[in-house]
Amino acid sequence: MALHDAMRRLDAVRMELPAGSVPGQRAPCRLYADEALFRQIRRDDTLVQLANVGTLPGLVGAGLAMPDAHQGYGFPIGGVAAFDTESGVVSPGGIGFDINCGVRLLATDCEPPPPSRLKALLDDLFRAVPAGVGRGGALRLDRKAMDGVLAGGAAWAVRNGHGTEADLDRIEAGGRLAHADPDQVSERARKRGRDQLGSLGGGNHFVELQVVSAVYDETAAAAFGLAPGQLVVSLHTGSRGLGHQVCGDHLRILDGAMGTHGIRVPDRQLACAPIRSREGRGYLGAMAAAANYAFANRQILTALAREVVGRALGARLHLIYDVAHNIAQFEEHGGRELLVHRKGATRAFPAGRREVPADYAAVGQPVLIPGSMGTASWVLAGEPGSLDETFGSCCHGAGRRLSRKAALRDSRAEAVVAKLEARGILVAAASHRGICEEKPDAYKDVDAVVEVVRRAGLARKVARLRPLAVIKG
Amino acid sequence: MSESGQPTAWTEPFGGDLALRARARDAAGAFAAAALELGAVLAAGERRATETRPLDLTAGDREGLLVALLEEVLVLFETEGLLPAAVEIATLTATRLAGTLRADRFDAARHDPGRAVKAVTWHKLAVREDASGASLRAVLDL
Repeated sequence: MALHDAMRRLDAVRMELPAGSVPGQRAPCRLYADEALFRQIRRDDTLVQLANVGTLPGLVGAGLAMPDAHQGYGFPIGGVAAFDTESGVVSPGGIGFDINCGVRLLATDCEPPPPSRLKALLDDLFRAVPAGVGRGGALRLDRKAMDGVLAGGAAWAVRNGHGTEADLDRIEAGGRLAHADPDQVSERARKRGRDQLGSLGGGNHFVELQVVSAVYDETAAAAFGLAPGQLVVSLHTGSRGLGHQVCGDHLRILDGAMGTHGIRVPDRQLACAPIRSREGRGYLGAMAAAANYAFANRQILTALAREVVGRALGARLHLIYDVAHNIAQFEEHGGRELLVHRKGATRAFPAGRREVPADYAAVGQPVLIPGSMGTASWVLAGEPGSLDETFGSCCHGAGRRLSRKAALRDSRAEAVVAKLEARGILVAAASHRGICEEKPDAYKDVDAVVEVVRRAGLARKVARLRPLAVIKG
Repeated sequence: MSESGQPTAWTEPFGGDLALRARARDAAGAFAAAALELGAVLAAGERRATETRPLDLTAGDREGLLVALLEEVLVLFETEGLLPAAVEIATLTATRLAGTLRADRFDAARHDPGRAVKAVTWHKLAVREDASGASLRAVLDL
C-alpha cells in the first residue's frame, strides 16, 4: 500500500499516518493539509520522510508536518518534532543546514513612495545589501569578534552599533540562545563565516518592500504597529556558510556515534544522538552558536536597511518581530521540558506564554509567513491550538511546489521580471537563474497554506502584505 | 561511465534540490568525476589548473569520504574562490582518500556564477562498486 493510502483524514485540515506505516515507526504522524494541498504534498517523498521522523527515539506525541510541507532530506521541510529531554534525541536533520534561517519584519512610519522613488530605493538597497553567491558580508570578523557573535547573537550586533536594545525584545529568544558553545564550532565553519556576516546569500533568501494591504485583526495589528497602507520591509536569511558547516560537521560526528548509543535510523540524514550525550550536547552548543550568528546577521542587515530607508525616505524602521524557522529549542509543554525541532516551521505561541514579548502579551506572538516572490506575505498571531496540538508551531511559508529544474523550464528571467513589473512589483536579483527558480508559481498558494493553519486553530490572520519590490540573492 | 568507458557525472532534480550522480570504472574515477561536476554546478566556464591543493580526507566509510570530498570542493570555492580543474585520487580505501586537487580561481570575466550550494547531504547517499564499475549519488542542498 502506498504511504498516501495509509493516511487517515481526521477532518478537513488534519490527516494522520498511523504508527507502523513504515518499519520502525513507533509514533504516529500528523499532516495539516486540505485535499488540494494534500494532492500536491503526496507527489514527492514528504510522507516517507514524515513517517521516518516517527522512528526516532523519545519522540513525544506525533511527528508533525505543516501545510507548506515538501520533500527535504531527513526530515521533510515543514516538519516539527518534540523530544523528551531525558529519553529523546537531537537530530541536525530536523533543523537543516541553514541553522536559524528566519524572517524579520520591519515597519516604516510612512506609506510607499511613488514608483520612481521606489525604484531608486530598491537600487540603493540592492547596492547596500550584499546578495548572491560568493558575496562577502558587511563585516569581516577576527577570532575575538567571531566568539562574540557566536555567544552573543543579536546582542553582540547591538553592542557594536547595529541597532538598539529595544530591538532585542522583538526577536525570538531575545536574539540569543544562551546555551551556545563557540568551542563546538570548527575552524572550517569559522572560516566560512568570517566574512559573511551582514549578507543575504542566494537561493530563496530576500529583502522585500511591502505594503500592508489588509488588516484582519485590528487589535493585534495595532499591538504589532501595523496599519493599512503602511510600508514595511521583510528580510529572509540565516547563518550562511557557518551554519551549513556546523550542520555538516556534527552530522558526521553523530553518524559515527549512533552505534555506541544503539540507535539506527532509516536515513543517514536523520543521524542523531541522545540529548544528554556528549555528542548531543556538542551539537546543541554549536547549533545555538550558529543560531546566534544568524540573529546577528539579520540584525546587521536591519541596520543597513535602516540607513538606506532613512536616507531615501526620511523614514524610521522599527522591528516588529524576528522568527526562526530552522531551529531546535528547549521549551516547556504540558508541564515538562522538551526539545522542539522546527525545520521549515515557525513558533506560534499564543497570548500568555512567557516567551511572547511584553508588548504582544495580550495578542500572541507575531508569526511571519512569507509568500513566494510576487505573492502576498502574511502576519499571523499564535493561537492556543498550537500549544494543544503542535508544540506551539505552524507553517513557515508557501512551500515549494516545483523542482528548480521544472521552474526553469520555459522560463526566461526577463519574462518573469516583466510579468511582475506589469503587476507593479520591481525586482533586483544577483542571478537570472534565481529569478526563474523562485518565480511565483514554483510555490504553493500561500493563502491556502495560511487558511489551513487558521482553520486548524494554530494561528489567526492579522495582516496581509502585498509585495512592491524584491531583492533576490 | 560513458559508452567509451570515460567517467561521467551529472545532476538531476531532487525536489527543490539537486542529486549529483557519477559513474566510472572504479570508485576513485567516480569520486573525481563527482568533484568536477560539483565545480560545474558552482560556476560555468573554462578551467585552468593554476593552483594545487592536497587532499587527505578520512571518514567512517566510503559514503562519508564522498561527502568529505564534495564538501572540500564547496569550501574551497566559498572561502578561496577555487574551482576544481582536475582531481587526482592516489589512494582510496574504505576510510581514507588522498590525492591532489588542481584548481582555477573564479574570475568573473571567464566564469558565470552557478547555483548557491549550501551543503552536501547524507540523504540517499550511496557509493556502489561491483564488477561492472562504480556509481555514486549525493544530494546537494541548495
